[in-house]
Amino acid sequence: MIKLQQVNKWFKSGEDRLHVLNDINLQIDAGDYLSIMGPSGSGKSTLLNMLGLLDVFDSGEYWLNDVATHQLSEEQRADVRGQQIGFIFQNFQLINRLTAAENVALPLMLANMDKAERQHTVSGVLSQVGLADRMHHLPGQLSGGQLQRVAIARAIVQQPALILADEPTGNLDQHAGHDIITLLESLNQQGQTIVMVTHDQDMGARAKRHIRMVDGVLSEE
Amino acid sequence: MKTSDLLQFTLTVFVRHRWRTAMLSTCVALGVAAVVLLTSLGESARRYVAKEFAMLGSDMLIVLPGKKQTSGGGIPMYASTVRDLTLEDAAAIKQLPGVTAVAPIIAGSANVAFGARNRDCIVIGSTREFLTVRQLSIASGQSLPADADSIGRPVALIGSELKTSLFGEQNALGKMLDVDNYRYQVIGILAERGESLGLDMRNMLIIPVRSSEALFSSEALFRMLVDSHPQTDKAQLKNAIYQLVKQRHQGEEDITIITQQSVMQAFNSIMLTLTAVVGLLASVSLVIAGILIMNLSLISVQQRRAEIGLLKVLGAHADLVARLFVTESLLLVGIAGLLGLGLSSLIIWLANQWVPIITFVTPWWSPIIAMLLALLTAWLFSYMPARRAAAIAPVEALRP
Ligand SMILES: Nc1ncnc2c1ncn2[C@@H]1O[C@H](COP(=O)(O)OP(=O)(O)O)[C@@H](O)[C@H]1O
Ligand SMILES: [Mg+2]
Repeated sequence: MIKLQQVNKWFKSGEDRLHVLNDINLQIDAGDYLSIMGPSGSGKSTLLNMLGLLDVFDSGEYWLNDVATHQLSEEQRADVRGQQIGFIFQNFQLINRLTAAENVALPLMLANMDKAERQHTVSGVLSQVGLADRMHHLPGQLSGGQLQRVAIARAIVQQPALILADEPTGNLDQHAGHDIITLLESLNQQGQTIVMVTHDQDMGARAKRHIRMVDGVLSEE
Repeated sequence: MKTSDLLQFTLTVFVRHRWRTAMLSTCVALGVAAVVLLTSLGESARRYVAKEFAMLGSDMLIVLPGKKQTSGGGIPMYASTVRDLTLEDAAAIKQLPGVTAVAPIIAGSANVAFGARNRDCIVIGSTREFLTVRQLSIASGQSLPADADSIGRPVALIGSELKTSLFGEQNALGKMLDVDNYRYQVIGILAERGESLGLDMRNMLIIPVRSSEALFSSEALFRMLVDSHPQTDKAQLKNAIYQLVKQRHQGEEDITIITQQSVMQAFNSIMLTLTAVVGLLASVSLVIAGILIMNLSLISVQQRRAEIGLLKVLGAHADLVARLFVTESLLLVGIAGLLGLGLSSLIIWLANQWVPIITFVTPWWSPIIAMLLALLTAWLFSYMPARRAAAIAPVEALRP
């Protein structure tokens, strides 16, 4: 489903060029569940941004469902992001003035889905993450674990091909973090492809495949 | 994004940033109201004065001594009088076909006294035709004698207010007035009538034109009011008067004739220009509101970098993000502009309750122009913030 071929990315830092992604080759099949672990600054987030079409690499190829994404325009990349990729962030990235339901509805709104269908879909997804009774709460009224569930609901609402999670439990306590990993696992069991960056050994170990990043070089255990 | 969703999303921004929204709306509403109110004021003043001129009647011509220097529109300007306009000229004009009445006028100010009370007021020397032409009537007593243009009898008609201030509730008919060094007997009191062409008839004294020659020691007419038959062609009559006076004044065309139409035209063009200038000045306030919108929008873009990044992560195109910010400012200005229109209507309504003499009206084009101007300003000044928002990269959402 996903194929990265000899992807390289350099960042300029002052005079130097930092080789953040060093000849990355990676294949991900539908239904996979990958964890990416490694020291801080090793390029994990950068790799995830490439997979999510949030940033461009300097050389290499990225095939997503047989589409050569490295040849797409910025607008086409936005469309692919909206339709095929769900994002989960460490700091949730919810819009504070919108209710849980409205936050989850955002991708559908951007995709021009009409309101009735949207409401139906959103309430279904929020039930799926166990927040049926919190639909109309504002982010300020929810706990960290609940916020991340809202974010997960938003990530899966378009039924994306791929979910990318960058340290999804980084801002959560042990218990809430555990619940989130369990939720991701159950999504994967229903066939959802997931790539997750994490610091936590135990949580990373629960994934099906284990990737290590060190200084921009990728290896798989 | 569907338009309805776009609007709803924008409304959540307004609710979230209540203060900013309220402040901007106030500025825009005041700007729009200022444009509408000032143009309304100009238009109302124009109509008010135009109505006054209309009361002259379209059959009346005013003959002034002196040649108008400028031709065409504009304010008439007069050269020094070459030859005085006289009562004999008036009598000759009276003979022209189509002329129904000629009121020669000598005017000046004088001190009018009755016993211990005295007043400075305007004294008009004319004939009884003056009353006909100016549509004045006698409340009690009688009008000027028919021979007012030949014999200087010491009689006077008194305006209603002047009568009250000199005589109070007393009967004024038959009483003697001291006017500067002359004495006149009050033979009639004018019926109450409001102001007309800036002259308050209620505070005037009218005496036979021959008497006023002595009072003001001059035979020169201040002007002549010529009334004509409704069917008479005014342009032809005007020409005939020019010809006649020219012939009487040794071939010198030294008078100016004003018709109601020419006065109204000149006046209308002046007032329209004035209204436009005042409206333009008010528009400056809208531009200032626009600059304010731009600044606050730029701040808003900065504050909402993460949100904008997130929208892009979720699949929003750059042009949608730009549209979001343009919509925000158009919607805000649209709503605030409507409030401003409401405000100006309210103020005009109140003004009409409190100031009954003048009817305040809003010209039909003024709210349209004010709104279009406000929306255009909003659009122009939201362009830069919108561009800036659109350029924000999706990775912005990832910065903590
Ligand atoms: N936009 C950027 N410009 C310059 N350097 C960057 C940028 N983003 C990340 N880096 C650098 O690239 C390296 C990898 O960053 P990142 O992928 O975020 O690491 P990780 O997520 O593994 O901690 C780091 O040294 C970081 O400082
Ligand atoms: Mg990282």
